[in-house]
Amino acid sequence: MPRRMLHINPGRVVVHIVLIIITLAFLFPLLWMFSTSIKTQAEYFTYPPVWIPAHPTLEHYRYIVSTTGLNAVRNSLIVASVNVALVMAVSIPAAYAIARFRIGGHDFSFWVLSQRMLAPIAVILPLFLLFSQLKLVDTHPALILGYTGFNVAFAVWLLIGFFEEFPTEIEDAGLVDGCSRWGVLFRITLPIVTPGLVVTALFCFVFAWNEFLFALILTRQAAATIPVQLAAFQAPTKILWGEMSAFATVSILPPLVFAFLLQRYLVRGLAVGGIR
Amino acid sequence: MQGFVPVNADPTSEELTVRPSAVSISSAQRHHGALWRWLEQKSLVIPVTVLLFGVTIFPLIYSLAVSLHIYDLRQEVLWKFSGLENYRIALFEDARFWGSLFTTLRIGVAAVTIEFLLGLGIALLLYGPIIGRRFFTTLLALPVMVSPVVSALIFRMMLHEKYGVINGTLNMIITHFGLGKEFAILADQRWAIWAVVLTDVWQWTPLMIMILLAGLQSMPLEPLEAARVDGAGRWQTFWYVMLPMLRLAIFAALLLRFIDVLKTFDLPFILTGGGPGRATETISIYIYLNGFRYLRMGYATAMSYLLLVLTVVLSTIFIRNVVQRRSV
Repeated sequence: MPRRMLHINPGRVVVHIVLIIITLAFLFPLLWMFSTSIKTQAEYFTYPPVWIPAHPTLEHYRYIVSTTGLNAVRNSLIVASVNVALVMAVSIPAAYAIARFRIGGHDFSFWVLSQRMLAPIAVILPLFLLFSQLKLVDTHPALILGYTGFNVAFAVWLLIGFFEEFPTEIEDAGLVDGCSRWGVLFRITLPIVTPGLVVTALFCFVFAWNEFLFALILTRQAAATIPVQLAAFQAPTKILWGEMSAFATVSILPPLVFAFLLQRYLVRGLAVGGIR
Repeated sequence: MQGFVPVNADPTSEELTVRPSAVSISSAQRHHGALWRWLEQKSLVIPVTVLLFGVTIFPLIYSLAVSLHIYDLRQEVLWKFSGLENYRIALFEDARFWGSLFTTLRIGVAAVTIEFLLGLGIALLLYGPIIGRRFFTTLLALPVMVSPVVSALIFRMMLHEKYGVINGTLNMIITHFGLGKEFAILADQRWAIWAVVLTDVWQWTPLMIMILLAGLQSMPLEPLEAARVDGAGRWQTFWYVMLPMLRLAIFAALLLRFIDVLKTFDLPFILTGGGPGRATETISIYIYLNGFRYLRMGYATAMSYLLLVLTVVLSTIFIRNVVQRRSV
């Protein structure tokens, strides 16, 4: 290692050091949150700030578990996973039809994509009025249905790309052998594009897991998801930084784990298939 | 699959003559003909159409109807027809509507500009011969995956005037060197908007990095080589060769981010609650307050339609110029 280092020119070393500093700067808020979550109150309400807690504690995590935490996690899990299942069930056939037959032409596919561009506040106003009349407010179905609009648009566009990469010759063989279109889709195509399906599902899950505006309006207490319960810590009367940080740390674990799994697809997923 | 049958084995296939890239025929299609094939294809998109109609199209038609009425849950006046009155008030009488729109645009312009410059700089650093590029890009991508609620709460904590690691440290420096008065970013009319910008920059610069890096990596190398052979300097190569080739990626990234900021709600709502005063009140927050705090649904839906027009125009530009070139 030292011998190889000698051949590295100083410019490149500087670039690497700069990159390490930048990366640490971007990770700092997350690290700070974690460090706050294991500090005692005396250590976070102090001046100058304490960087590394001298007496790490798990009391804030225990507090979260004993209060609203578990119910919120449960709600988020139910809403996000049922939403993903529903979204995938309708998006897979639609994306397949667009990829193979250009069904509905440009208009149909752009109409689907445009759903992703809608301002959430414009959709939630009428959705709230309708769901109140249906007595769905503060139930899981309200959020599960509410998130489908955005997620379906997203999923269809991501899936089109995965289906287009799949060679049609294999499907043709199935068709000639007497499979129907639905049969080809389920028996031949889907098993092979599974990685693409997983990527799409994970992105949809993260969106539903992180969403705040719809959850704020469509839930009260029983069905409140993690972001809603987290937002309650923002109230000026209670500054429970340790508890808040502990809850936030737990809540970002699934998205962070997914980030490592999805890294090759992040651009594709986050830029709506606009850029590949 | 029992053995591979060549696709063009059946000369009666009309699919092949009409659209060679499309599918061949199946036995089912042979038996039932064009109608069956049509039904089978349509059946694939029926679920998505029904669902989207239920969760967005119908609600939006409903809210268009609401926006033409006085619909006030507090005064219990519902469905009192008022024509375009709500739109007239928003456009010509409500200074707070325009104020929140300009606040949103200011946040958008400031945040997207900073994100772009930072993103381009970091993407260029990563484009070179970097050991562990995957490692850096993965770690840099993490803020994007975090809920805006969480990022707003973290920055709320870090920007606390006294105990916040950013604001507190700044104040420590200010008092130590006698540079003036201590200040509180979140409670300051002039500075609060920069707290929102800072948080947005932290969260979304990584997306800029990723889009621009992907653009750089998909660039053909020949023009760069040619420029170097012709004696162009680093700066010239960047300005005259790389930037023009990156045009589409840059345009896409800027527009995509700007549309997102126009719709932003959660980040400023948690970070500052739109305050102090109305210093960080975005258009989405103002619509939210009208709908769910003042309970003037008619007026809120009218404003939301004005916001929709704005985002739909920008989205159409995005779709026409970016997406259409790529696929379909």
